Amino acid sequence: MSMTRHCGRAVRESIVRIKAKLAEKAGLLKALPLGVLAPALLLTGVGIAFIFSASTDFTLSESSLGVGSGFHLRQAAFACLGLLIMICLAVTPQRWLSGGWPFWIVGGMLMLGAVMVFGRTINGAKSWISLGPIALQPSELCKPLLCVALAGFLRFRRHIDSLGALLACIAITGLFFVPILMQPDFGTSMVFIPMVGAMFWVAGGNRLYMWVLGLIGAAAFPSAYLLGLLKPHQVKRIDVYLSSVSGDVMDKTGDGYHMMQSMTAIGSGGFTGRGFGEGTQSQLAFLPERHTDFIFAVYAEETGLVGVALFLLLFFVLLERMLAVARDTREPFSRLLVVGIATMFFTQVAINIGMACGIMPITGLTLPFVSYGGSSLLTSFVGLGLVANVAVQPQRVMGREVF
Amino acid sequence: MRHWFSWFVASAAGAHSPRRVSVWILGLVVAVFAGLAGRLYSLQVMHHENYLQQRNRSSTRTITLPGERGAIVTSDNVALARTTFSGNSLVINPRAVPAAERESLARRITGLIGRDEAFAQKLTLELYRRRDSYYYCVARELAEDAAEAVQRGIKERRLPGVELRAVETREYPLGMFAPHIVGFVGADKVGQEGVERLLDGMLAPRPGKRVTTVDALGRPVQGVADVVEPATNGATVELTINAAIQAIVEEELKACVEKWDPVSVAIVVMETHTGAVLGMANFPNFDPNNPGANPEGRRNIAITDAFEPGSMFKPLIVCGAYQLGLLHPDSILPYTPTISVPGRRKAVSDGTHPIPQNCLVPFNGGWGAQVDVGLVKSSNTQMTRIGLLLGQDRLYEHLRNCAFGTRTGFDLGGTQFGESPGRLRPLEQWRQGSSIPSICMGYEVQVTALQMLNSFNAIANGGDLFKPFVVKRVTAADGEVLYERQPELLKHSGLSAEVTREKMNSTLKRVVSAEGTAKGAKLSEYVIAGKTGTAHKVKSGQYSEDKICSFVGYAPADQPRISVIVVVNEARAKVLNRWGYPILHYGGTVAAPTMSRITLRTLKYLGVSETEPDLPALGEGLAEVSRKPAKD
Repeated sequence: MSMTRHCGRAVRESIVRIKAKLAEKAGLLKALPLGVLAPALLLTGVGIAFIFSASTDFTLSESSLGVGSGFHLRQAAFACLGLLIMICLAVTPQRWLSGGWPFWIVGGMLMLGAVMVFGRTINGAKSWISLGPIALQPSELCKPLLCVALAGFLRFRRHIDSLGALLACIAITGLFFVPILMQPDFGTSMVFIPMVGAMFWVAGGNRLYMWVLGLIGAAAFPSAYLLGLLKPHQVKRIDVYLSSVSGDVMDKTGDGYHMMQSMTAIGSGGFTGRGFGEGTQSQLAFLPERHTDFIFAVYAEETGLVGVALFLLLFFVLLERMLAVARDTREPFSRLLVVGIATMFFTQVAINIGMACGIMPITGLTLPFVSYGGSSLLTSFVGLGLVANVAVQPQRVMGREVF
Repeated sequence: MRHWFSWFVASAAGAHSPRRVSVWILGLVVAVFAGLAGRLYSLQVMHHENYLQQRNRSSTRTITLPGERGAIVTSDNVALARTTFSGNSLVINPRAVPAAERESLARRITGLIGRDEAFAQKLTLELYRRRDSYYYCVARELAEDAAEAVQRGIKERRLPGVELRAVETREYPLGMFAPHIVGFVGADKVGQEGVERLLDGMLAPRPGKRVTTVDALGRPVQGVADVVEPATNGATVELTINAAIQAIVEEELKACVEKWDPVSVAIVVMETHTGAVLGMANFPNFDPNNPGANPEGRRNIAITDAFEPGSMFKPLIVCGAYQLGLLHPDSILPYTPTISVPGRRKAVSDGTHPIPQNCLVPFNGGWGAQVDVGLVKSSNTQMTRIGLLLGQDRLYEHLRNCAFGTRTGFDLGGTQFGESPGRLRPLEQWRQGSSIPSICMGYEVQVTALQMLNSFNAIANGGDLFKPFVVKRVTAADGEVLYERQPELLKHSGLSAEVTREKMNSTLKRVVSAEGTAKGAKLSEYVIAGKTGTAHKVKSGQYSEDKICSFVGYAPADQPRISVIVVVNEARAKVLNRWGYPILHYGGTVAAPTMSRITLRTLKYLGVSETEPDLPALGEGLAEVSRKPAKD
């Protein structure tokens, strides 16, 4: 009897304790950066709407993307899951993130190793892992993972200026970069370079080394192209890109076809667009990969320049608010983390939209929050959660330069 | 934003600061977004039109709706050329057939059109092989019930990508009937010859179109209505050709060819008072349903081939002399069977056909002959004297007036084998002494059959030279008359009605009489006025024994309705007369009978009342004729 009473008290006490803990965490959530969250959620909503438009067959009855494709529902489900993950990440104690950087590296490598062994090949890249009904892309998740790991690694480096720090940085990046490049997933691996560069820069790395490295990198691509070190399909993509920039007649098959159809879709949108669900380029299946990589072209065709301007504005606000979070924090780990995440989003947006409107070579890169794809969306929300985590940390409110 | 600006200013010149770096990153973001916005502005606003066109091009498929080419009909409304839609072809767009359905579709089609298993297998294979193409013709000329079954299948949407198409054919129902006038069309349905070519623009239908919105796989989009612009059928062309008369001409042509085995024959029947061509036939000819079979037969030799007319030319020379008042039909010219002309190597001779003694009269101590006798007997020496009387300047001017050496302006002159202008030497090329006799005998000039007929027709109608024509009326598909031909005068020959209708007419009537050169053309029902012609052909630079036998005339002589010319080039058959002797090849023996039969049948068809011929014999009544000496 007394046992039960005793137990009952213990349970009650623990409930009270958990309640207090939850209240504390909920209190933390009051500090969520709305300037970051609102555009991200709006973009997710826009994404779901236009995935519906792009994948739903309004006119055809025999399309492979039938009315019941339900891509938008899956995307919405992933968005809910992402939101949950984001909230969890926001309230995670930051020391778990910053202190555990070696574990994140090991975790990331395990995932990439699993892909190498058990991976599924889709569109010629072995970068997928099947988990029951869903297929995940670990390389996507490795992007925020690397941000956390690198931020943890760089936060208290005394000799950040040294060549050793740079090499260590490159080595850690390489652990993620090389397996992804081998999948091969050129687009995703390319996101790492500006991401790591920006983090190293913010951390106060040696600028001379960075310049040298940057120049080597800048020279590497043209020379690889000219020396014939690239794979045929990569050479083709660059050829198509160069011809589209110089205004020659494009090869209208393969990648040239993708680029031409995408530009046609965007261009035919005009100023006000053709209306939701009325974009024939996308509706009539001219545009390939229209609900994933080329979702922007669908959006641009159906909403026109007006919609596109709003779209860019949303992304700009998102990035600006993220960078503001980085600016307003005094904690090195937080700052590095947020700058890394912001650079990741920025790079993807720039490459994806640039590719859709024909000023970037075609790489299979998604548009954060908008493109269809569970891995991509969850990764975006993980990034958002990490930024939120930084934003809700109490030191942010104490932020004054000098006391 | 105020924050960013102050941060930027504060850290512009400072040492490393993470905050300054984030400002730089934001600057980069702004720059890149501005670049993207600029690019999007360029795509969506500056080049919007281009991309819109590009989009419309790729998302629509335009099908041409064929119209019907107009018919060509005779004046009595018999179709000489018409368009028929024969047989349905079953065509398929392999792109619209889902891979999984290829075999079952092939089986369904095979079942509907009643073919065997091998066909189904072949079709499945073809659908696979042509999976990236838009068009494959499965079967042509489907049977009626098969076509119906397929039509039903398409309506019930059981046959994706399948279409039925009617095949348009141009048909010439009467075959080898006035082919040189009707012409023919090529495989592309463009007129190649004759009226088909001349009026191709009017006969050709204006095709309509159906614009279908399609998806990237070329499948029609359900629920988007096609934009249809119906086709307009071509105009109907009515010819002046009369089917009955043309049939007569074709029959007589055939009979003549069978009898005489000539190299070529040209026959033209013309309405005297309008210049309308009622019938026109040539040998060799061709079947417009199969124009490739006999390419040599495509030439309308009645207008393309010029020849030396020979004696047919003589009446026009004499008319000139009458018109100038130099001679009268009864005027007497001295007659000798041969006559040497200064400057001419060979004497002009009447050869084996001098004017018989009973037609001559004593004259100035020798013999003389009346002008009309000379013409009826086709005397070369008499014609030479008349020519010399006229002199080359007046002769040339007269022949120019009669439109020799110029095109008649016939409708079909502008087609592939154009109308020949014939040939009349310019005056400065006439040879002293030699040309006048030659031209007066119908040599040294070249005429086409139509040209000769047209000039001769001036004698029949009192001096008018018409522009011969064959297109009477063009009526659009909606009944609007696009073109209606009125008789058009090429020029007036300068010959008065008195000369032609009174003086020349009686002479020409005598040609087709017992004492004339065309006695074989004489009819008991109608009076024909005409003139024979027999010209030696030039072969290897010399006049040979091969002849062009011709006859031109009009009837009824006193109230002419039709003018007819028959030109038989080089009759080769040896035909025996009733006494077993071969018939010599002359205009009067070869061409004149054909002409008279055509005339007889045509006038009967036209319902012209028969007139009894009442001609005095040539020798009779000579004594009463006043003997006016010819002016010298």
